[in-house]
Amino acid sequence: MTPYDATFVALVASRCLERPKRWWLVLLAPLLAYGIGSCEPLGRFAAPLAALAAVALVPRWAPVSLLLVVPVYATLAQSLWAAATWLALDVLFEIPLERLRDEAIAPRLRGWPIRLLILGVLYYILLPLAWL
Amino acid sequence: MTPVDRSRATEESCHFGRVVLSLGFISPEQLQEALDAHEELKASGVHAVIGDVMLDLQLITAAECGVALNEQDRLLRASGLLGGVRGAPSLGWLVAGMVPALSNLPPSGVIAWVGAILLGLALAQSSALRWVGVGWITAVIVPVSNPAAIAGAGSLLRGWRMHVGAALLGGTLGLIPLPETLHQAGPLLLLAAIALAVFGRKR
Repeated sequence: MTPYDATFVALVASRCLERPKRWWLVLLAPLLAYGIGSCEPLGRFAAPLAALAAVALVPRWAPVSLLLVVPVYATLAQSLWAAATWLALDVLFEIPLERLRDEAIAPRLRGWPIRLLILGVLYYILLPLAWL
Repeated sequence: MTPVDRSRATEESCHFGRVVLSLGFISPEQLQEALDAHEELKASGVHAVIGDVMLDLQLITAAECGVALNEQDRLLRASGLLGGVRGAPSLGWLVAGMVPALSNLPPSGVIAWVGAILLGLALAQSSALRWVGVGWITAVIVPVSNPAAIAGAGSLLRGWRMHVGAALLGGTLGLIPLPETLHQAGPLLLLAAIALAVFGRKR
C-alpha cells in the first residue's frame, strides 16, 4: 500500500468511528512507522511492533492509525508528507459536505455514496502532488 | 419490525430514565414525576439533564446516578450507538475489503489475510490489540502478510456478516486478476460509491 492510498483509506475508516478527544495523535502514526521500520535490529519484529504502537497511540481510533502504519515509509519526509496529507484531507473533506445541501444531491447518492465520490475525486485532484 | 424501528427501539432502551427504571432505582410513577419536572423546566427555558432532575427530586442518590450512567454507556456501546462503527453495515467491510488489493499482496498473502479475518471473528472480535496478535501469528506463518493490514481491517469489522463480506471482497479483489489501475484507493472508492448508490437503500 502506498502512503497516499493509506491516507485515503484511513480517512474513510476515521469517518466510520467516533472521533476520540486526542484524535490528532494519529498524525504521529506514519512517523512511528518510519521510526520503527528504520530500526534495523528489530528485523521481523518491526511490523508487529509498529502495529502495537499504533494501537497504543489512539486505542479508540486504532483502525485509523493501524491503516496509516501499513505502508513502508522510505524517508522521514515521506512519513511527514503522509501525516500532512491526512490532516489536509480531513479538513478538505468536510468543506464540500457542508456546502452541499441534501436537496442538491440525487436521493441514491445521499450519505456515503456522495462522500466516497468526493474522496475519489479528491484522490485524482491531489494525485499530482504525491508525485512531487 | 423494520431495521429503523429496531434501531429506534434500541436507542429508546438506552435512555437514562429507562436504564434507572430497569436497574430498580425508581418506580414507574417516580420516573413519570421526573419526566414531568423535566418538561416543566424545559418549558421555562431551563435545559437540565434528566439525571440532575432525578437527583434534585432526591429520587436517586449520586452513587445510583453513577451506576446508571455506567450501565447506559455499556448499553450504548453494546448496541453500536456509541464508540462503534457508525456506518458499519454499509462501509466498514468495504474499507476492510480494499486493504489486501491496496497492499499488493501475493496470492498466499491474500489467502492468509482472508483466513486471518475469518479466524479473528472468533479470536479477536472488536479488540484491536487482539487483532494485532492475530496479525502477528499470521505473519509468522505466512511472512508476506502484514500484521498492521490485518489488524487495521479486522478492527473495523463488527459482526460475522461484515467479516464474511470483507473476506469475500478482499479475496475477490486480491485474487482475481483485475486491471492494475483498480489496485489503488481512488478507483476503488469510486467503485464503492457506485455500488452503494446502485445497491444501497434509497435515502
